[in-house]
Amino acid sequence: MLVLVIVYLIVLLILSLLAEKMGKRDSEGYFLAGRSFGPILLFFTMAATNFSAFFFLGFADAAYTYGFGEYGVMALGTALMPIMFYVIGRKAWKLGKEKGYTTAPELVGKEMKSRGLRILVMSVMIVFTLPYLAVQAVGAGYIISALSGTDAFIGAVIVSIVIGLYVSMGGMRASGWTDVLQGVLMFSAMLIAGIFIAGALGGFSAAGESTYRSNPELFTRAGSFFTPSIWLSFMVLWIFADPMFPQMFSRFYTAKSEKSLKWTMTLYPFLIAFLFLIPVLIGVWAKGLGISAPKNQVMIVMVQNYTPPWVFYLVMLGALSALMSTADSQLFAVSTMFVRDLNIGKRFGEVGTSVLVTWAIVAGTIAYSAYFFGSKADIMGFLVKNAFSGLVVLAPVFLGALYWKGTGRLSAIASILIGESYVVLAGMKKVPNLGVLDGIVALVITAVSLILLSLAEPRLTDVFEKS
Amino acid sequence: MTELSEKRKRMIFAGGLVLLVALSMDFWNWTSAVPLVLGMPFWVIWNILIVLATGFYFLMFSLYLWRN
Repeated sequence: MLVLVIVYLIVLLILSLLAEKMGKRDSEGYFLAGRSFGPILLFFTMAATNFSAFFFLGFADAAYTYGFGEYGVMALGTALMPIMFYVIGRKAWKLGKEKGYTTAPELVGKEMKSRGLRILVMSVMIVFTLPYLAVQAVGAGYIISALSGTDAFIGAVIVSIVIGLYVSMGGMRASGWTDVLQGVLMFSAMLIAGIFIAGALGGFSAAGESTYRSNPELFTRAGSFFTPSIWLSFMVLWIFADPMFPQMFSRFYTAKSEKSLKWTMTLYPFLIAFLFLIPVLIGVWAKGLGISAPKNQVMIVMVQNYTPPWVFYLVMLGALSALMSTADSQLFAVSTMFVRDLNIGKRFGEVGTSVLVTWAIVAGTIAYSAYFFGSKADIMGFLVKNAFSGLVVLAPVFLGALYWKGTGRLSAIASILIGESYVVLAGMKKVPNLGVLDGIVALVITAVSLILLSLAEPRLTDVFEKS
Repeated sequence: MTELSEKRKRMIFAGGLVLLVALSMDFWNWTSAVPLVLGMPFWVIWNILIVLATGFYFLMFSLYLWRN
């Protein structure tokens, strides 16, 4: 079945070659696909970028452990998140078009007239995106290993190199076009997996009722990890953190018109309603069946055991698509930030420098993957504790830059540093747990700091100037 | 008059968003596991309905509040 994977990878490369030929090789053409994404393309690229390794691998594992509550904490907040397409996306799109912004740090830095703030925001985004990028490569390694029996690390290396190839060839247009193919593959594969596994277990009702008899604790939130405060925490976290991922934010700029953003916003919850349910059902059923699987492989074991071989291969390809569509967007977003926000594109041109940076990141990702395979860190804990908590800290500053003229430059910098300090301390368990996710406490601390410091900043500046 | 109706629209949509968040916190279902509907606890069906309602909310939002 290695042939199927090779054919799939070749198709991706052909798509990126076409993207390269169709698009202009200038900065706006390469980094933002000429701001030309229509509603369907933007919807697929947003969804495929957002639904990652966790969607295909970690989600079923979490449901296996925590039960049906996993659906609520993931789906409700992710469905509400597109409100940010209006609150942040619409303004970012307009300003991007008017002033030529390409990255998220560029917007906040130039609107606030602070080079220091721009570099700080870029640094935070890179620090919390690169590990996430490595997680996608790790997931790809598991899938290639399940498909062909090769070492998982080798699989991660192959996928990283292919992503590097098509991103460097076709830029944002290649990333968007491949996202459509990958999106269709992943959504249909997940749907088919759910139908076949349910069929093998006697139907949705029979599978659920059987699991309820053996594991009723998976069917209630009473006494579980899902307290009301944790439930609300996840909703707030997804709404504010998701748009702060640079690969999501940069897609706001690619919209052809506001119509593209509106349609993406509207279609998003309808996709989530059913698509997020399937991995949760599979995870819960797996527990009921007494399935034992290595970490992050509940989905793989279930598909292996309860579907015909062709479905297994399709699902594995879908999973690979989910991983690659997120990873390529992250890789491209990070390389774009390096080039634009550090302004290092003078010698080889912005596009040429971006290609060089892309390959440097691919090398770094491979090295990080090697470490990750050794540490065996849990995907869910890793994502929430590091990437989401760290990035959600940026949300108040973006909202301030877009909506409140009183936002102070130094206050913005200070509030981010305060918020990130809390994230580090919370990650090291040096602060007491308040019964909500660390990211929510960090978000509140940052927002309050930003407001109070901004109110005080003009007076403090006067005092310093007079003295 | 136009400004007033615009304000009213904003208030209605803000209220709708708050309502969606409030309905997502289904305290009344918190300790229940049954009845099962299609092999899932009823509160999961409730969650699915809220997600679908969010989609309809965004559709109305796009049509009536978010103007180009």
